Amino acid sequence: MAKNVSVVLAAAKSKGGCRKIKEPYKPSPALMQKISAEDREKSKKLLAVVHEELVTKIFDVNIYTNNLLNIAAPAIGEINFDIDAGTRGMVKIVDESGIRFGVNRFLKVIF
Amino acid sequence: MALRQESTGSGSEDMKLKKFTAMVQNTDRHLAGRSGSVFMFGGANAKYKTYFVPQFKRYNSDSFIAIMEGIFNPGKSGPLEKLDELGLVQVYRDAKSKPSEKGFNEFYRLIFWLLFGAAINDEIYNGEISNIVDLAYCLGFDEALMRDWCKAVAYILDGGQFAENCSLQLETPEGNAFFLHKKG
Repeated sequence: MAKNVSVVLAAAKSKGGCRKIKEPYKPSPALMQKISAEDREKSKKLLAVVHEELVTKIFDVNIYTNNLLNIAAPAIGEINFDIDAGTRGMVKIVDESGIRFGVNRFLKVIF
Repeated sequence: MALRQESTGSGSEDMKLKKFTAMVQNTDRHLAGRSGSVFMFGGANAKYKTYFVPQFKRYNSDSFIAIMEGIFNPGKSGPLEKLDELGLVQVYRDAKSKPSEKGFNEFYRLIFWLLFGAAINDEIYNGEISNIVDLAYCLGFDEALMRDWCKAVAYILDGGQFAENCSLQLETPEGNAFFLHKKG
């Protein structure tokens, strides 16, 4: 039986609206013991890049809108959901069994 | 809050999992380059597989993650404890020596798929991202490389396919060579 797919628009109009980072950098115990503080700082900078490039662009979920736009989600099929004009963001898709597929779909909708 | 639910039609579950499987296999086949094999962390690089596979195996209640684990470790069940035994310090020391080009490709693939797993699964992200970043650092990643790898993950999730003339714009020679097979 087919399952419904709920579609959540994840938008990032500004960084201020982004999800807060749940897990700050926690170096592995091995690195903590063996690698210098300078190296740990460099590793921490890499995490900041990941937060910037992945977290803020894929996981943010904070705006729901109401102008229809058709999105062809590549791994799932064509899905309809609502979006505001001018919104930029991405979609996150969750089905009823909890399977989720993040789709980095930047939207710039002009009506 | 206007949120509409639409059915994707009969068989959508199977279809999306099949598409996902094909996408992962095709992407990794491209990344493997000349070797053509799908994710063979064998030989000298086997120890990195002991990091990668358990990393996903512990989260395989997620069907997408289970698919990745199945592809990368067919017919085997690695002990989860291996994750905690990862010799990050040894990796760090190894990185100080000069790995072969093939070795680097294996490292690059490893980090790509770990980031990919983190991107599609919050548990992996929240539980493992620091380890993934530490591992990347140990393998010689700097901020520019990490930015390229994240862009590549986002590009694939956006439905893109790596190719020399695709729209993905990368800033590092390593990223262009690895993902787009562009010669420097």
